[in-house]
Amino acid sequence: MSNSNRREFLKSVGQGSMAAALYMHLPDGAWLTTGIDDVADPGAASGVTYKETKLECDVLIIGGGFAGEFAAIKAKEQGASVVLVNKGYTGKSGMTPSASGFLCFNPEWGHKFDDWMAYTNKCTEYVNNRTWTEIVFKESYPRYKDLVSYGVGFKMKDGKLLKDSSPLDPFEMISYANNARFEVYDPETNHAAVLRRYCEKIGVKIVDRVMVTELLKQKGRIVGAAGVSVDGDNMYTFVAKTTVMAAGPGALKPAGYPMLVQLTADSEAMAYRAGAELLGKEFCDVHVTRRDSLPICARAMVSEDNEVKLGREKPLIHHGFIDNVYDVDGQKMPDRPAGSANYKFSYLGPNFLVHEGKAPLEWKTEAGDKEIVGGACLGLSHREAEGIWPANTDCASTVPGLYAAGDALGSMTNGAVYSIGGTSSGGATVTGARAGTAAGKEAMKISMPVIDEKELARAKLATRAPRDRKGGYSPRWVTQHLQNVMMPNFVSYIKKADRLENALAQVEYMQAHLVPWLYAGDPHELRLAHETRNMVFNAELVLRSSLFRTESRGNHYREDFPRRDDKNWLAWTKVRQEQGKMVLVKVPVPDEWHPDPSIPYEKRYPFRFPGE
Amino acid sequence: MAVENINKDLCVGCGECYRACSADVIRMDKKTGKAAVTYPEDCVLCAWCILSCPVHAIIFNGSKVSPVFTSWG
Repeated sequence: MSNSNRREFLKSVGQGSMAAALYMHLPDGAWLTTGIDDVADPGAASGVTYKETKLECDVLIIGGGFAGEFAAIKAKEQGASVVLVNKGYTGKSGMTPSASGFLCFNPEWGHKFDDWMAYTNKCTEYVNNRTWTEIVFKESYPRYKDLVSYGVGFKMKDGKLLKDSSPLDPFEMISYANNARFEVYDPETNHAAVLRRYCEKIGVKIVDRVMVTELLKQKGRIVGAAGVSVDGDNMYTFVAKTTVMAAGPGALKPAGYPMLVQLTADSEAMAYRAGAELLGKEFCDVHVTRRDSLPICARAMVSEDNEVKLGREKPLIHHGFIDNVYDVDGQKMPDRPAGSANYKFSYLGPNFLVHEGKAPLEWKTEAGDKEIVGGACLGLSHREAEGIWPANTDCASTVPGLYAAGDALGSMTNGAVYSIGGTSSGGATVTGARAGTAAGKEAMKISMPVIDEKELARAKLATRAPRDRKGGYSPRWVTQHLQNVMMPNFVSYIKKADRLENALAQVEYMQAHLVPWLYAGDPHELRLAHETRNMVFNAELVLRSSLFRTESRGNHYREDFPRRDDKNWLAWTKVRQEQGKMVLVKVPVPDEWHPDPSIPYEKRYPFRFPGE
Repeated sequence: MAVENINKDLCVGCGECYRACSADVIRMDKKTGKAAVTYPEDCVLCAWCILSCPVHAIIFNGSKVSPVFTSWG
């Protein structure tokens, strides 16, 4: 805090202990005050001083992947001034540069909408939100045309589109011409880099390497955000008429689908702290990887002599698509029943083999037998099954002024199973465009907010707190502790009440006793401290949601409730904060979307869970 | 497989690896203008730096070694 701001702040809230008392009453009081003698003037004790940068815009976009970039472009098209802020480097970091396929529905290519929907509804085990599934299908082709017009290439060297399709399902996913899976990665032509250049061309102001830490809220409305540079002691204030949260999903920094390292539930955690409702996180992502080459899940193959290769000529596990898996006795994993090709993409099968004591699992390839391991996406839900609860189809959240897009939006496009490959990137362009358009339109009708200095002071204190503590826990250690609690197959994938409760007790301990003591020695560690705080929140969300759903469905398997329970659980989980506590409620799926109860259970759900 | 070092003779200082690193392991050395492995303990083995490097200057080592963590201070 600069001297002038410090003086101003001291004036507004009173001296030291009074200020501490004031902040202790807030839900995040412990975070703001633990280990800090003088909350009103923390810089005096810690010696850390910040430069201040303040930016005003009509629309603030947090996150720089497909969703954020599309939101920025579409908000700009509404005439809005747009700032896009990303804790990494937009166009280069995060998951988007490695996206390989784009789900594209186009009747002119022979696609039949009714077939796509019917297949999706069944494969997602009837808890997909059909409104969003339909929106993503129908708006995917217009977004594809947008991408082509911005300069993203889809044509392969032979001049043709490369369409991924399966004889078992009706979908078609088109591959990006330049991506890490089929071609050599080239920063000049990669789709994320192309989108960045387009954003810059149309006048979007891009702020790289600044982590947004807190949303600013006053009179019940989001009016911007506070953040901090990861490179130096520079505090940022963003004042905005509307804000789009597009900072991705939440995982726990697993090694294996490695670009997830940036995606630490910042979107959900910040929105939740600001009062937004979230979707529950019980439907886990089950990507696997190879023990001898962890990045293989992200399509990079490390050879024995440490050479890194890309491309189809090498045996790959991509997107958890695993055939030829053998258990410890040399038995092949059983084929999926007809009509459930979705399980190829996102299938708990290997976890069940481990459950039966049949680990290690081996994957037979031309290059020899390779050991596969789980946990590659630890803490993640499968796509669109986590995020901020959409209040309407404009991607508004339940808090005025805040929108969400991409993986940060809990649209439930894919229900209980990631059945439709390519909806992560395709869906992010669709929801990004919707959120950006709506946020841009709303911003053009209202005036610039005047920021309440008390709220700004709170957000800045929350941002810098780990730098100002007298000492504390290393965020790396707390993260590792959290990974150790959540990683076991029998916590995150094969679930049962007693184990979930035990894990939750440990996570609650971290919330109460480790998170408030997170300590950062430099700006890099300050980012880690905020990420760790958000990841502990993410773990709580996963565990509580998993306990709440007392049935098994899709990628949520409970040993103690091994059947689908259509009577009680054709429903979604909604999460909100009430007096500092996480509260979960059930939201029924509309009756008209229920499966026909006259169809026998075994036909409604062709896949069998162990023990049902 | 964690990123270990950057070959200073090969590095051209283009910054592609620095921008590609989602884990913020690699920084640019202001004195030399070249990339430097600054926070190796935070590497998650994504290999994106290697894929981004136009001159093959990134050196991987054979394993990810977790440092000894201390809690206080």
